[in-house]
Amino acid sequence: MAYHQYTQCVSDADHRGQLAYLGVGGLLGVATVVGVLLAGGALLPGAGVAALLLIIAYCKWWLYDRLICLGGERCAIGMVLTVEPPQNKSGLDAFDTDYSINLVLSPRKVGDDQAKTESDGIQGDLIKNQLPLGNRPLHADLSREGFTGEKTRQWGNDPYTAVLHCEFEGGGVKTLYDAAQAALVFAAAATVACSIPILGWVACAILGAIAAVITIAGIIAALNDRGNPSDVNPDLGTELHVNDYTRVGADLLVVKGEWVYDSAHEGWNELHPIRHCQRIGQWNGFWSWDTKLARDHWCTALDDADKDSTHDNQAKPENQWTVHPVIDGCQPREREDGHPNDPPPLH
Amino acid sequence: MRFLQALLSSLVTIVRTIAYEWLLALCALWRRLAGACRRASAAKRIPVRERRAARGQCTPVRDIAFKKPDPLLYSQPYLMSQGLVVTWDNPDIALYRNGALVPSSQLASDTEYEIVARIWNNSTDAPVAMLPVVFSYLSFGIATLSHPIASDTVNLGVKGGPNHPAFARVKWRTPTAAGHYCIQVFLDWFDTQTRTTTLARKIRSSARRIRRPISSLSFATTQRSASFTASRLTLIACRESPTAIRESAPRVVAFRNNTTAKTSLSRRVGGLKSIRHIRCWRQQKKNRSRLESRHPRASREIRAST
Repeated sequence: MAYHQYTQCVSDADHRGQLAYLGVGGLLGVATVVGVLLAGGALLPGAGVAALLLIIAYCKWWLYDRLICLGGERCAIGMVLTVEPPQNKSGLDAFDTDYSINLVLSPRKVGDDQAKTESDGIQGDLIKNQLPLGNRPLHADLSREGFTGEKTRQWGNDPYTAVLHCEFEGGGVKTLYDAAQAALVFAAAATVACSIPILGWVACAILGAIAAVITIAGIIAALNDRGNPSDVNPDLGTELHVNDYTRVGADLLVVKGEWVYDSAHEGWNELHPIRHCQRIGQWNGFWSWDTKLARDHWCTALDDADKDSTHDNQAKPENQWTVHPVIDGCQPREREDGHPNDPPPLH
Repeated sequence: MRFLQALLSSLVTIVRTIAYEWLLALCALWRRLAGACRRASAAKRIPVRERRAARGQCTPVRDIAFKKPDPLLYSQPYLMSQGLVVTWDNPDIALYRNGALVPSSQLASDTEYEIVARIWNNSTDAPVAMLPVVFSYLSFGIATLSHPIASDTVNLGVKGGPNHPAFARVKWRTPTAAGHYCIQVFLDWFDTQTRTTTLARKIRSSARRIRRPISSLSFATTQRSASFTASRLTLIACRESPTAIRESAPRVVAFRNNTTAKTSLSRRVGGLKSIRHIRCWRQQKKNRSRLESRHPRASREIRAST
């Protein structure tokens, strides 16, 4: 199963919170600046080191602490209500290059609220609060407002609908994290060199320039990491569709991914990252399937596709065909002995 | 003289700017800034997630986690279009009676058979659950008529996995009139890697009742797809080999064509979806014409390469 994953979720007990990371990063930064000034060093490289430390702390929280695991991988089927491509983000949000989709879970409809969806007994648990958030210190996360559930709407005059938020991961923050780590060494070396007259100043300028170039290159790369061009197989490239103004045409998807609580915003569960996503139908105004049956069929099929035994079988010679087994396939030896020219039997 | 005129003009401009134009410029700048602030403030009133949502109906997605299956049947025209030699004895469609395989040339009229279609998946990671498989048959006369038989759904696994290949089965009572009939098996799936679904055909003849052998049999249909993925005119021909007829061998014809499937799909879902497809197609066409007007050489090269 091929997918992009840069984040790692943590258990609720191991979750430190945004403030912890930013506090440590900030304290280290301030200590660096004060230390440099007391040692007679230059302020600019010292401030650079402090800024890089803060960036690293933030990125580390974003990648390795922000998401709280809720119970491993989950699978869901639903209708695409809205799509949030990374191109629509601005400011610091632009570093978050995840591609998000909001699904109305089958068999719910547009306009159904959190309570109604939660209690449907089929897929509602995916968006139901799973954490003892009441016991969490309020200062743990800057933006935490407790569990609210995610709701959105496609049109301004639509009622809000409770949705399952799902994200394909982009590498923006990881790229920034890598760049900041790489630049930190040069910035620190520049800070030390700056305290040595003449030759040190020259070295300081060179090292500082290298650190700046790495940081700027990292920022540019991070902002543009909105999908690896090598992913764009013309046969695989496609669009996701939402409903048109007649309220039909949206894609029905099966989605499988890590089930997490994202502590970076108001508070909702999501599938992050999406590890498997497939279009399985289009919305014609009603659910044309029995949800339990459809979900079981699809989720079992996805599980089967990801089994080790399946991967082992796929490596066998008889499964290397690309056009049709009769055209460019082969048979295992025991079959070849008896029927060398026969196509595979139908039964 | 010209130099003096230019100098004078410049001096006048400078004086005018210092006297009052700076104030006009400042007012204009203020109006623009205020407008930008108003727009930003109006945008801020929309919740963040709604602000981020894509405005259009079609949003491209490019991620390796997005998968597409590739269900298929043996298809002679498709294989021939790839420059491959084919057999007319389709290995993926068979008829059974009481569990025994019956050659398609030895079928009796007004008798119930089981049609079995074997379905493959060329994808190693995208299965298809509840794949609708639609069976029908064509009768040949003055006009070619399609008659529905039944449909089945199968869970098609990935290549090498459980439920692969999958088998769809339906019961079929043969027509009372003797003649040639063409069994069609249609995999009704809309989202595949190769952008095709498969329609396979098997010619059945009740040979024992045929009074005069038919030397050849052919038909053609013309399809035009509204979808931007396959917006070309395609002629599909299903032709039987005269030799095969004379030898009364099982004659099996299958074809696989993306336009057929797409058109069939858009017919099924009705006008609304067609409108939507056309809109997407128009958008792409608009983008293409914009590209052509801006970069004619590059677009020619792209067109040549595709």
